[in-house]
Amino acid sequence: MAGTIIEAGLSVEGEITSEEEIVVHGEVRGKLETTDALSVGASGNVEADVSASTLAIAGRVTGDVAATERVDLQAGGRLLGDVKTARLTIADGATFKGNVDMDA
Amino acid sequence: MAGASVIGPATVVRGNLRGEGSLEVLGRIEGNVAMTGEVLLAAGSNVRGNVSGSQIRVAGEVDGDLAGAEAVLVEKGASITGELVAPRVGITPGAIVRGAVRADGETLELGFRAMASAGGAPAPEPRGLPEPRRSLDLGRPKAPEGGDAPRPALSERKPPAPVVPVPRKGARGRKRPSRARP
Repeated sequence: MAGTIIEAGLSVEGEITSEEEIVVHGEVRGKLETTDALSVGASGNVEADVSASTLAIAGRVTGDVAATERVDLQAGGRLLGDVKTARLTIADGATFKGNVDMDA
Repeated sequence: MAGASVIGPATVVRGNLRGEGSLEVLGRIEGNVAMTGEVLLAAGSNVRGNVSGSQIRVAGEVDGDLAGAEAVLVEKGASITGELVAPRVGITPGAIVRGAVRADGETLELGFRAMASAGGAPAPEPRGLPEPRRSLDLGRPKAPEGGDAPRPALSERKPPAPVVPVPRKGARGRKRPSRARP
């Protein structure tokens, strides 16, 4: 069970700090931090600086992104911002604009 | 589209949550919550802010006002400091509530709409101030009524007043014809 789920239709303005998995199908503006996995669904819209252990993006993310393990930008996903992570995959059909830092 | 969102037990939100559908809170929220659907504040949750929804069920800790379009239900183990407003308010044995409770449809709608439209961070309203003021205003008119009784004496002095205007009217009448001659 995912710890925190922001469903479509819910919008959070502010700071989310967590130690469990977060799934975003709705909207988050501000700051998003978890020590666990974070996934942004196809309908998800995140306008925030993001940090997580693993990050999967199928929706929109605008902001700088940091993941301790990996970032997967999936088809249909859209990322505008800098990425800092050890492993990065960008699927065919994803949109990405920003700098990548994979320096371990 | 409007599914059930969850704020997990190990999650802290500092900010406002707004939207459609229902919300279940197991963790901590420092901000206002305005949902169109059901809101469940589970045991172990902690909310500092105002909460509105169609139905609000509380088993956790709340420091803020709760406005339910349909109902506010306070369950065992809940601890609330704030106002409860809804057409139906239920408080279960084992719950702690400090604040006003209004089970009144009309006032609810006003409060609910105000919270939903304000969106941002409505300042905590001064609780209980408006009602005491009303009762004070109602009390004031009663005291003067008794004091008015001696005044009829003034009406006896009135007759002398008309004497003054009479000579003036006469004076004006004399001047006008004199201007018309040249």
